[in-house]
Amino acid sequence: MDAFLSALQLLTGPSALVALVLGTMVGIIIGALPGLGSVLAITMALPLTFVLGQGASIALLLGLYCGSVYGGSISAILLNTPGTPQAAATGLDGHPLAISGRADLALGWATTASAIGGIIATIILAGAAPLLARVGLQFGPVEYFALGVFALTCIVSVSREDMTKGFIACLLGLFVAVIGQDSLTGHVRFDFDSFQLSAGIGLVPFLVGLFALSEVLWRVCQPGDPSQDRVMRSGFAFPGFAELKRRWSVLLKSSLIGTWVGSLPGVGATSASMVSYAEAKRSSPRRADFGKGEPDGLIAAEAANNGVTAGAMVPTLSLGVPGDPITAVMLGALVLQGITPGPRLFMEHADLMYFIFMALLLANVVLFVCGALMAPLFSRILRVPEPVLLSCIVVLIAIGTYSINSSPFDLLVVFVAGVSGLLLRYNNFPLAPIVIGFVLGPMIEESLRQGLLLSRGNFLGFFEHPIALTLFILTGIFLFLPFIRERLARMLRRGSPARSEQ
Amino acid sequence: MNSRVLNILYGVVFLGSSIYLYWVSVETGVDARRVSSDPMWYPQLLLILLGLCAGYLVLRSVLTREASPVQSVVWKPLAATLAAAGTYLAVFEKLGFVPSTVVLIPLLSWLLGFRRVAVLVVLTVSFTAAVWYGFHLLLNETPPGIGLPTFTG
Repeated sequence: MDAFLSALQLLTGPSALVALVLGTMVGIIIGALPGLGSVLAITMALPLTFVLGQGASIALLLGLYCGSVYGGSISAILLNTPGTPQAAATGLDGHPLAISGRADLALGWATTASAIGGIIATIILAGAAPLLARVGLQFGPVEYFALGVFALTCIVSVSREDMTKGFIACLLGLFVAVIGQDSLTGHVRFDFDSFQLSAGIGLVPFLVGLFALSEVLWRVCQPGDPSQDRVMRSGFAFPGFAELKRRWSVLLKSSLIGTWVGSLPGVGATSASMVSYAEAKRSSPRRADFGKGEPDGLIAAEAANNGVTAGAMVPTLSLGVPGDPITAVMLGALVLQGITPGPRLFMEHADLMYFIFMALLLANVVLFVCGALMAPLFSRILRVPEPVLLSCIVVLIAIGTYSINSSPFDLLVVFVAGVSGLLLRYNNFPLAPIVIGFVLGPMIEESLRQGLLLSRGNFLGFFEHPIALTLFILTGIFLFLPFIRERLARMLRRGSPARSEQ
Repeated sequence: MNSRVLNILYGVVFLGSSIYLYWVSVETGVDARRVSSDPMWYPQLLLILLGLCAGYLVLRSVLTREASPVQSVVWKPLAATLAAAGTYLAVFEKLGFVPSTVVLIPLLSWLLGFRRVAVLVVLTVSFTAAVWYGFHLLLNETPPGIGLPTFTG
């Protein structure tokens, strides 16, 4: 009870409340601008967590997370250009509803479904995370190593275009994390006699460069998008309680799908909203209207992608293993605040856990209020000239990163990481495995070496641990599943002409 | 250039880097009796895996006949942004936040095609002031270089 009350006190303090509201508002704006997205919003805010207190920092990041995921729906509805990949399914019914003259109602449904989806998922998170943490208490170094490898494999295996590139990206992230002092022996690695490198590559400059600066560089070199010229007027119309009651089953089912998919490493909000949309289309009595502006489709996509926000926090908080780049950055931010996510977090920082649950709940309420109040401004936000916006982002990247250590070396890291990110994007290398590899790298190395110490250098001893063995088997399945699927598809392709000839 | 050539190029760079870094790790490594206490063992393992993946990428690209066109890129604005952002980051500390920012925002916006001078002036001044005061007053972090009060009195 004491922990609950101290969390409540922290959340109702002015700094945390202001950070939550501002974070949600800025998140909505960044999410709404096509192409910027949640990772950019959160990485840009990372430097601020150094100067804000613990509560305010977490509230800011959670507000940004929820706000930016919802924000993606605005441009999907008004422009038919999803602001974030998570909102791809939202435009399928949201935009037809908007062009039929009901943009207000489309935004109303998106806002309401996002808030309800987020709230339902948070309630599930509050129940599930402690249970998973209890399982996590049985984890030793071997189990943590197996879990880290499993999480990385999941991220790599969803690199649909090319798994080899996914592996290279993941190994790059793991390698960058080893630069600097070895935590077990104190030996300095790959410093090339540079004092700055001996301290390692900082999380913030690396991530800000890799995601934020490379995003700016990537956007300027893409052929122009004339979508800004066709923004329609926006407003907010609450769908009404009777309509909500009529569609409650879609809302609940989509929120549960979002939470479940979100808790799986590497799957993410884009898949969640697509799966939820497909399920709603399959089971809805109004399935014939899907794609023509049916609110059920909009609800399914939005409730699911906002459900992912809390779902993705389940493994991040209870096991310390992030499922996507956004939670990897959040995990990094928590570590910078002196908090180590994992099973012990629930025992050692129960107040913080209550704080996170309550902040997530409140963020979804704030999201609803801000979404309703800011709706008339959305069309103006989407008309902000991109050159000015990108210039301002470069300024924020520089000042935010520099303010942490007042170090020009950090700015150099930002630039190098930004250019590297651009080059990797150019040849379709996924960036998500680099982040997850970088964040999980120290944990994987430490647990591998401790595990080897316990098993006296015998790696086969790792397979004697049942939990680790299960995770290794799952890793193998995830690793080979795309190859098996590809083989089957090829066999089917080969078989189909023969059948047609018969 | 097509995707096949690009993959070979990237593969060779990664393969070469992993071999070089492995050589560096051997040169500077410590002699530990157990792998668990050898600080270079884990990075070497990563470099071997990286080298194998890069080698596979090269080999696969050499053997395959399929090649798709690479993504289209507009080079001029990219070069302009790289030069402007690189210079900004390089002079940020020496020149200070205010002077470098009031040059960067209009210059980069202009280079990227936004030519409404009045809007640029108002936006540059208001954004620079907002960020400076935001960091100075709200976050208690003064940006480098001469401060805004020098101009405003």
